[in-house]
Amino acid sequence: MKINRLLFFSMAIGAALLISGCAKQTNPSSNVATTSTKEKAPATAEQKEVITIYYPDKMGEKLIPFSKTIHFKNKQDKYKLAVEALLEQAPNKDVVNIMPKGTKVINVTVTEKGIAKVNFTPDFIHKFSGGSTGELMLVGSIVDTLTNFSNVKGVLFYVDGKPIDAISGHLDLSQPTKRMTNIL
Amino acid sequence: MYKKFSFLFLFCLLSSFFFLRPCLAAPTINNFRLVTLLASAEKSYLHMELTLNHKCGNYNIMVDKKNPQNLILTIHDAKIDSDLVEQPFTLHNDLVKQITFYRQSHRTVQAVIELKLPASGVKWDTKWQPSPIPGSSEWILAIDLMRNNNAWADDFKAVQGKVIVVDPGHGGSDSGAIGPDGIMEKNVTLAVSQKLATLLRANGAKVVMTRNTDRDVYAPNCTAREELQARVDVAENTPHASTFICIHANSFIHPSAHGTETFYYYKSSRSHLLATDIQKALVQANHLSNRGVSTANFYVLKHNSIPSVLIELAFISNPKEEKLLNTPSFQNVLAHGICSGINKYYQSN
Repeated sequence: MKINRLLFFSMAIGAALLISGCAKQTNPSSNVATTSTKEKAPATAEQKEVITIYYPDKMGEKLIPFSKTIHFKNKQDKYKLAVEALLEQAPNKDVVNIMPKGTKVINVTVTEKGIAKVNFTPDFIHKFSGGSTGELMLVGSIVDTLTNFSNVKGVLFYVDGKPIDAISGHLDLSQPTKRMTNIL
Repeated sequence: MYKKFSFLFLFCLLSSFFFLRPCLAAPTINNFRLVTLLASAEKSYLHMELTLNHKCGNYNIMVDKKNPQNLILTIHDAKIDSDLVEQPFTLHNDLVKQITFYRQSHRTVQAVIELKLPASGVKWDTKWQPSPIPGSSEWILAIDLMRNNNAWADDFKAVQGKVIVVDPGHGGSDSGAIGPDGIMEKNVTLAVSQKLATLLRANGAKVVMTRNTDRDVYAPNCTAREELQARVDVAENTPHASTFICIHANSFIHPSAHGTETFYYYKSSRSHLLATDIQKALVQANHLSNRGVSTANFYVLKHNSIPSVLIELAFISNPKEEKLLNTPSFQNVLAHGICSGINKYYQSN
């Protein structure tokens, strides 16, 4: 009996959470990932922007675009938020989260010449599972997400602040990687 | 008028029933014999005869989707004597290892023909012939298997005298991708590269391998760039080297990804031709899903001055393809397909 009651309560709470979660979504389109809300600081006004992020399909053939609303106070933060969005769970079953497990984004800076420098924790390389397709989809999802910002022309990769030339022996990352249009 | 037609129809119906009646009882295979015949001093072919009590039903021969070194003969609407079923006929010739008959269902008979070479290297011919025994109503389904000369090793003449660099991906401290059953990419790439080198050399090519054992080409635990440049250097330092063939096994985070793909660097039109020829021949041989040719900014392709390709044989992250990649006979199929593609490239370039 006790277990039954507990079950009922947890289901009720779950349902309540689901309903409130649904209510928060402003755009009902299926291609919209859940919005992330940041705490508001009273000093500076929070801005929001709808960006496009890419997840690979499960056959590893193409990148699929998804809209996402990001909230930021400082304009420079939006690049990091865009890459961090790729760490979240894939929005549906037809696409996959390609980021190596445990990877965190330390920072993303964009130079005046439009080169985005993405700095990851070492898991980005150590937990990468390999393969040309795996590498193309991983690099492609980051590069194509960032080059959607009109000022970003290419991407360089860093781990713990050090530049990396290659992840696992396929792509040459020593030069800024431009938008990869052939997997879109 | 109408009456006339209905009478004709009834007549046809009755007569067809009368003539087709023997077929309602499924024809039964009651004898099987085979003989290896010599067409010439080098080339042999296999002649098989299946004796049925009457001629009926459909049959076909197809390459086994699970194993491109098997042919499957299917005879629909037929039965087979019990003493022929699941008794492997072992052969001593250079084409076929053994043949085994199965009752695939109540009225379907199948024979698995295990070849000694990839099915792409074999062609076949079938025909019905009446029994030679006077007065017999039996029919014989005759099947001839022979080497497909266009695809066989003896005929990769265009690679003769060419200097080819073969690069087995990863190695030593770098295992490459690892499959769900623990098969390592570095071992698969080396096995296939060695088989490819043997085949190319047998046809008169000079092959230089970037590595011939399980080792790093530059040094253990060096940077990825040092390792990749060391492989490019082998090609750059080999006089007259005219193609660079890099062998890899693919991997993806989702296990359903599968198939064969060949990469080239977009600035090299010759690499594009080489990739196209190899991809075409390879999927013809391995019967895996064709992911086509693609451009990629891969280090060994970008920094090589000779036509270069990176072949992703199949997905080691896909459980089915992982097993295939680890099977020596399938590795032979892959090497054979790649060799055929390289040969095609040199034929037209």
